[in-house]
Amino acid sequence: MLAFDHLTKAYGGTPLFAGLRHAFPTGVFALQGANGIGKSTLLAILAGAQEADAGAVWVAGKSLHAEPMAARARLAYVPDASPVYPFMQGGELLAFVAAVKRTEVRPEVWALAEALGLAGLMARPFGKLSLGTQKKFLLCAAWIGAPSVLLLDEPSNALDQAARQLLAARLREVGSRATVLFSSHDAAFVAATGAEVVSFEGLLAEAQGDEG
Amino acid sequence: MPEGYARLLRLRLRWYSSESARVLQRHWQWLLLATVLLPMGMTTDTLLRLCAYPLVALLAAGREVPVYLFWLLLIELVALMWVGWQRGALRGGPFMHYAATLPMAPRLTRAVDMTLVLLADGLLLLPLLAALIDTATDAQAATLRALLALGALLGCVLSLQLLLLERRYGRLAAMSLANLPLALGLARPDSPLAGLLPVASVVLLYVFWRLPGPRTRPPRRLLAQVAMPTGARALLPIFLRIQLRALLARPVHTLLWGGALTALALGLAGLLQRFDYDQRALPTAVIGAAFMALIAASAYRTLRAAHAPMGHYLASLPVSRHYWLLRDLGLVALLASLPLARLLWALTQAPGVPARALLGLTLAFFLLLALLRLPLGVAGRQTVLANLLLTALWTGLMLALVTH
Repeated sequence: MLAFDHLTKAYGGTPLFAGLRHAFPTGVFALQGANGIGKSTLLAILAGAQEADAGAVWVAGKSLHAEPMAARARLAYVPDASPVYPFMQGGELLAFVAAVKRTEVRPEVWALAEALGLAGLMARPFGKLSLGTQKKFLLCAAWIGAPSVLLLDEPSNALDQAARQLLAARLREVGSRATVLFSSHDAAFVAATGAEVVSFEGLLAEAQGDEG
Repeated sequence: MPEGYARLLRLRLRWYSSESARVLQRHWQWLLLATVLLPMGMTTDTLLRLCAYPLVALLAAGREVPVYLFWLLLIELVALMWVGWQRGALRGGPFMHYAATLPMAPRLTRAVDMTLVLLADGLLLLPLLAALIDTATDAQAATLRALLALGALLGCVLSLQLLLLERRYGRLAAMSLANLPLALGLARPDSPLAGLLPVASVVLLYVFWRLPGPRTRPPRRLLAQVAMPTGARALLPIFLRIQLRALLARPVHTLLWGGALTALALGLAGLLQRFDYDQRALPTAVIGAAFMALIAASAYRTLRAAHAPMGHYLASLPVSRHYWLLRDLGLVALLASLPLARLLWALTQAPGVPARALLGLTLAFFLLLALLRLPLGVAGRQTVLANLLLTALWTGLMLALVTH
């Protein structure tokens, strides 16, 4: 459901990775690797949040380059740091994501928000929310529109224990019908999601092997 | 001088100067534009006297209490806006959140605040100096009472500015009551109590300052609530709510922006009336519309800056690359259509202006407004200059069309 081929990215002439290729079927996958190796960049590229220097990405069979709207309609992305306007309210973020995905915030998303303790915080601006609460809103937004691919960058960071458990359970659940790829250094969280661990170094070695 | 004061002042001064330099670097083109737009041949002395006019008017004898109150409040409003504009730089930035956890006496922080406000007021104090020189050379006005009044006004201004800096908004209205005895003293210069009334103002200021009272909510939220009541909020589409919040997140900037557009529209309407709607009406309206578009276009920058941090996230959503561009164009056009409508309404009073000229001006105005969004994407820091050139070109073309 998520595939990429010959992805290459460099920053200021320094290559971060070159020729990355892989295909993820339905399921939950935890991307692991050393700090600064390029996990966040890869996730951002797969989500279309960042441009690759070369290569192609397919989301549920749709090319992110050739059919960007169709591909993005099928994916959800949660970055590590909150990118949301400080003046925007949590409820507005959910309404906005639903509006651009041409859907509505369905009861299951409201239920998730309530379970994460966000019900009373819908009208509070992002700038006045804690990091963990901002993350919870972004995670709720990821469930809008029943995406086929979920890309989550360090999703358990800043979350309290109850929220981590709830998120892990929801990821296991959604993994039965969608592809979930997340980066994490949190071994307990990865185990709780039942994710298959994918080593970034392994992806790099695979790419180098292809070149060889 | 206590060591804590000196240390904190040094830090805050560094922050203030670096922030001010950053703002100047960002807005140097507007400053250049303001210098260019100054009437030619105006000397520093004339300029100072022009800036000092409200103060000189305040010291002029023979007016009623409401007139003096008006001038006092106007001067204080300008001073408040001046500090409000620089509040982030004057307050010391995020470091002060940390400093607030240290065992520092509130008196020390306030002393530093006061020093910085005085420094920031440097530019505003120049007209005060000019007014003082004016009063000193005017035999009638050069009295101790005038100097006392200016001193009391300075006290009022500084107190109000400090209240704004400390976000004690609830106290602002009460403190402005200290203007009453001052205005009374200015209106009744022959009264035996006239010399004491400015002193009474200062005493009132002190009393109000010392009175305990709760802090009120910041005006940003109040402004947002006034501007977007719950019912209307529910009716507005989500993108429009975000755009309006982006504008309301910079309340001083947005108020100045709206105020400038409104003042320009009303001023132009007044000018056309003064011209008795003769053949000068249409060229004046063209030039006015050009300035209107130039001012209105500055909102693009505010909106774009607000959208920027969310750009990456937005790229992962199924929206076009021009999602905000098109909506920002629409919103600015919508908001600018109000002052334009006032100008066009005034123009309809001119008998020599045909309906097609009105239609042409309207279309050309919106075309210019849309064109003024282009430099923001390509000209970077030279956006204002590029906008100025575009507007000058548009004005030249339009005037050529109008006169032929």
